[in-house]
Amino acid sequence: MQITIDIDDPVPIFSQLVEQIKQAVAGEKIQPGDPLPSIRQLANDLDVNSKTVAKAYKLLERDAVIQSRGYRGTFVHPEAKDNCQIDIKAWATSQFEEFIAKMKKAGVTDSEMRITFSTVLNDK
Amino acid sequence: MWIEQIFYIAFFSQILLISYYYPKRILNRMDYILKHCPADNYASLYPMGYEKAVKGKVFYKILNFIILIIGIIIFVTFVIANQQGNIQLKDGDFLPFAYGMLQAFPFLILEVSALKQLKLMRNQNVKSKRQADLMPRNLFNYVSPLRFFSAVIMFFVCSYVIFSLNDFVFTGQIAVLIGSMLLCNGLFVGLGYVLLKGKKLDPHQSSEDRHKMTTAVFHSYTSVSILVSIFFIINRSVDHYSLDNWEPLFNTLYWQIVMLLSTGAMLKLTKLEDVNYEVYKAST
Repeated sequence: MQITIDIDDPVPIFSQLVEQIKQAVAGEKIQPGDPLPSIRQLANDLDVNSKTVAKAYKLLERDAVIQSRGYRGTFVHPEAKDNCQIDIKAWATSQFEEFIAKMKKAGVTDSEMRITFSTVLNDK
Repeated sequence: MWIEQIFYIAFFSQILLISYYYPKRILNRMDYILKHCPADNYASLYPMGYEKAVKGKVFYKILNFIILIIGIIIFVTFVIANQQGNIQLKDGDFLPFAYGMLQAFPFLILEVSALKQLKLMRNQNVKSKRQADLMPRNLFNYVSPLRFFSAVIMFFVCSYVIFSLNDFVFTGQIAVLIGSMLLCNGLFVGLGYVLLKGKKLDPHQSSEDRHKMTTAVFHSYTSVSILVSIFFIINRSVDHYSLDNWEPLFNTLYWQIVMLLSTGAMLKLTKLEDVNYEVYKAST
């Protein structure tokens, strides 16, 4: 199973990696429990910064598509196929829409929302 | 004595094998690539230019021819001197190695030149699409555990034999022998690690070809590692049991086996007909 990235594509490289690994899981090209290459190996093979691959792996781990088992390496999550169907971005968008509608109903202005959002995010 | 006759045959075989037979096979491979992959269509294959590649081939041919002639002159001189009693067989123990080093020189140039070309290839690579395997590369994907552990065990057996033949006394000579073995095996470990985990040397190479090439290299490393251990055991045994007349024969045979299992194995395992040259096409 091979993945291809295009460095001239406007889509960030880490997003291309996340999408392609999810597609490979959904298309059953890689199975739950299958080992994945290390961050360094994938970064070297694609000739990209290892931080880019690390970011992609971090996002995939957050979505429970892959799981890290310490020194043994990274593997496809047992529930990966179900989990990669979940579009966390779409879910986040709907949550924000709901929240913003609630705030607007309470009379909070756009700028107040932006400032509060930045303050809370920066405090985290 | 018959041992001298055997040495003559073995040393002459070393001259022909390393300075005639293998260079001829390598030159045939160069011809195959130059003929089947013209620069117009396969521009990426010639980062230094087609003419430079042809010149390199001619230089390699001439260099090997000169070394072959030197070898024949050394051989004839040694045989005459030995027959006339001016030189003893045991005095020629250094000959297979000293001449072997000279024979290895064109191979070294070839390796350095290949590394330079691959570096240029990487610098000239402007393809925006990059591919990678979604499988981890492990040592045992390329070399069998039996082969790998045989090399490791041979290292320890050799160290034990070296110590035991020296009555388990650690001397300067023992330190040099163990140090040489460690250095040689350490080099293989380092180069092997770069091959497994490092960057792609050839940016255009397909993953199947990379797998074949890595397998051949690991095959060669483990063979040479085992042979180095065997050689040191023989070398110490020759000294310990005063088999001085056998030493030149062991040395020439050892050098030839090293070449058979390294260069010979590489040539056998990497067939040019199976290589995917499409990746070097200008439009790819």
